[in-house]
Amino acid sequence: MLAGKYLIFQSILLVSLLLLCTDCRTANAQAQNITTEELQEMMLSGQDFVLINVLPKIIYDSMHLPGSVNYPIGKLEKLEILPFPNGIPLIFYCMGYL
Amino acid sequence: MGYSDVRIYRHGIIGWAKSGLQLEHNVLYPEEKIPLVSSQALADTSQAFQIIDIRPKAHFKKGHIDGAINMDLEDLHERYDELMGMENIVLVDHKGKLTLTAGRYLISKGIDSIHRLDGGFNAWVKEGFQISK
Repeated sequence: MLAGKYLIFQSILLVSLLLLCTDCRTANAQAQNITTEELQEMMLSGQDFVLINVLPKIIYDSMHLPGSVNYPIGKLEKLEILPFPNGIPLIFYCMGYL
Repeated sequence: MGYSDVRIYRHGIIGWAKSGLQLEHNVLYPEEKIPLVSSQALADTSQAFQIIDIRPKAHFKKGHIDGAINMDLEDLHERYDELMGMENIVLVDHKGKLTLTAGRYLISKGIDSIHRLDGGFNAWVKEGFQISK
């Protein structure tokens, strides 16, 4: 049962992230979008969440959003579990656009 | 898993920076200009360039510029020494968004003579140039 839930979650997440990385503008609505203002508000309020950069390490090292962690999408695909508490909001981003 | 709250920040690094917000850096690569090469110029003189396609292997397999070598950007920090001694390298990504940083990284490792394809592989395809599989 748990494995089934995990597979569903992983599938939705990976489809969303692959679309995100291929083209941010055409990604579908599998996951909720968040605006710059909403993200800033979450940072300032001290709310618990994990901000995840899915770009390659070379890009992450050069520039990333404050407090974010790096899980390159190619590595993320191979992970069976993420080391974050259940229920915590996960916010993914890549290079993006204006 | 319990990760029911998954969100995507689509504006990403570009949107964050354009909003005037600060980014963090673990390292600072040299702020070198990496010359752009148009698809037309690359098609006309492809023999003069060594094309390095930094897209993921799965994307490369679906189509790439003839003669390109695939070196996934995710692996570049482990494989950059394979580019030592190459001349006239042209970096190709999806849309031309990642090659500036990738090029500056390579320069920081002592690899010169780097160019980048303007608009990336998407521009190459959009402009109707041939691809190999």
